[in-house]
This record gives sequence, C-alpha cells and structure tokens, in this order.
Amino acid sequence: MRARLTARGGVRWVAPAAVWLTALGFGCAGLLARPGTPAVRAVIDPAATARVTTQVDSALSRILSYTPQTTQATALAARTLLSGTASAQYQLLFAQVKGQIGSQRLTVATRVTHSGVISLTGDQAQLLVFVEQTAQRQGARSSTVQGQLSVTARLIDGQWRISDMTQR
Amino acid sequence: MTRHQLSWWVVTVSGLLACAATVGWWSARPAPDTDPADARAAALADGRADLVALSSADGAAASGSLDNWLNATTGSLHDGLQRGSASSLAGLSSSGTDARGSVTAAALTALDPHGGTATLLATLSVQVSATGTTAQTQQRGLQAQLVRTGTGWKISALTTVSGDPSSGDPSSGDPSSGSTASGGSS
Repeated sequence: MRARLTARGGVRWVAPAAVWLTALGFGCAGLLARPGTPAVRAVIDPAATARVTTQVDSALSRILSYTPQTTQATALAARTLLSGTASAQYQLLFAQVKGQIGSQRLTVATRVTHSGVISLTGDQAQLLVFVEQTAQRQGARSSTVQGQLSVTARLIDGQWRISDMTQR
Repeated sequence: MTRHQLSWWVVTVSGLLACAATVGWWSARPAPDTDPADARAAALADGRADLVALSSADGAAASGSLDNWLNATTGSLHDGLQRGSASSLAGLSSSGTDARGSVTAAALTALDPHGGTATLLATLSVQVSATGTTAQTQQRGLQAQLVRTGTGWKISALTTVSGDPSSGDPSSGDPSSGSTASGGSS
C-alpha cells in the first residue's frame, strides 16, 4: 500500500517536470538566438561610432589647418590630439611647413569630407578619412587637393587621440 | 486537498507560466539575417566584391565585364547600365580597355540591418590600360549605396569621393574600366 502510493506520487510529478524542462529548453533556445554584444562595434553601435568619427574628424581639421598667426596654437593643439607615432610624424611634417607658412604667408584649411570607421573595439579604432585641403599663398590663387588617410586612434582618458596616420 | 496535491498544482501551474514566458521570449528572437554584426560582415564583403566588379573591365571580353557590372548592381544604377549596355560594349571593345580594380580600404558608414540598406566608403586602386596607351594606376575614393537583395548586397548608387570623377565609374555612363575579375556577390 505504501509502495503503491510512492509510485503514484512519483508518476504525478512527471507532468510538472516536463513542463519545467520545456520552459528551460525555450529559455536556452532564446539565449542562443541572441548572440552577445559583438567585440567590434563599428557602425552597429552608432553612438560609439559617431563619437570616434566626430573626435577624429575635428582633430584632423584642427591640426592640418594653419595660418601664419596660429602656428603656435596648432602645434600646441597637436600635442593633446595626437599620441605615439602620429605625434612624431606630425612634428616632422610641421617642421617642414612651418618655414613656408611664415615666409610665403601660407594658409592651409583642411576639411574632412567623408570618414568611415573600419574597426572599433574598446579603446582602439581604425578609420578611413577623406580630406580636402585648400592652400592659399599670399597674392596667389588658392589650390585644393584631396587626400585619403588611414587613421588609427586610441581612447586615452575618455578622449580619442590619433596614434598613427598614413596617406593612402 | 492534501499538502501534496497543493504543491503539485503550484509546481505545475508555475511551470506552465514559465513555459508561456520563455516561449514568448524565444519567439521574439531577432531574425538571423538581421543580426547587425552578420549584416555588417555580409554588406562589407559583398560591397567590396561589387566595387571590384564595377571598377574592372576587359575589352577582349566586353560582354563578360558587362555581366559582372549588372550582377554587382541593382536599382537605378543597374537600369542605367542596362540601358547603356550597347554603347558600353562598343566602347570597351573598340578601346581595348583593360582595367583591374582592387579595394585598398573599406568601411561602412551606415547600416540598417532590418531595412537592408548600407553605405560603403572605399578606396580603390585601379590599373587601367587601353590600346596604344601605357598602363597607369589610379587611386580613387568611392561611396556606394548598398541594398540587400535575394542574392546578396548590391550597389544601387555610386559617387566619386576623390580622384578623377570621369574615369572608371560606370555610373558616369562611360565605364573606362573592366576586367574578368570575379564580380557580383554571393
């Protein structure tokens, strides 16, 4: 009598167990159908992508634009906007143009026309940037050239800084 | 109702509720082809292949080049290429143009995984030669509008961002480039 009761008691728990197992199964399936946040956030995280493009675009137009009056300020800005290899590259470039800026009263304005994020992980980003540079020598007609840059940026203290750039 | 019966009911009913909740959650899963990371990978890969096809031409196999262009495009760009196909074929064959494009860098600047649209920004290096000319390499920046079709992402509009806008861009109606490069999207 007691044995029969226990067996019947065991059987009646089959249904609730099956119901719970089904719930667990659908839960797992739901989890699997939702892949975790991908490590590379370029484009699919619009806010993070916009942040890095905005900061890199404005840094580029800032450091690649100079007038005879503002060379000092541009050089200063470059120190906070660049880091690593890019900083050294820029010092070289700037030493070359500095003389021209003064002697030829050269003004250069750089505008970013298009930029795209190739890859974006936590603190490192790679961008493809198209720039338009307008150079004006005193008493001469201005000329405009287009350029393509590959830019690597690093997130340092919450600020994207250009760590490397190459002209394509 | 005994204590055992009560607990049976509690466990069973809560199990059914849990089932209903997880089934609802599972059925609200995102469709696999709208997963943003997958869509980005597909749009980038297909878009690059489309650009290679569009910037390549082979005067000796003009109709093959034209097929590659048509396979890589959709919408108005596709229609425009189709309308101008006769003159493109004649132009390609007579000039003996040979062009081979390769994508040197590419990035998506916009992506709508659900709507199936994307914008691709890319730099290309195109080696062009025509009968009686020496081969030259052109650097070009292009922006392509991509649309997801049943057979992959295809280019619906193409604009030149930098470089010589008149050359090698089928959207200008005068494709000076082409090759047997495998085009289209898979």
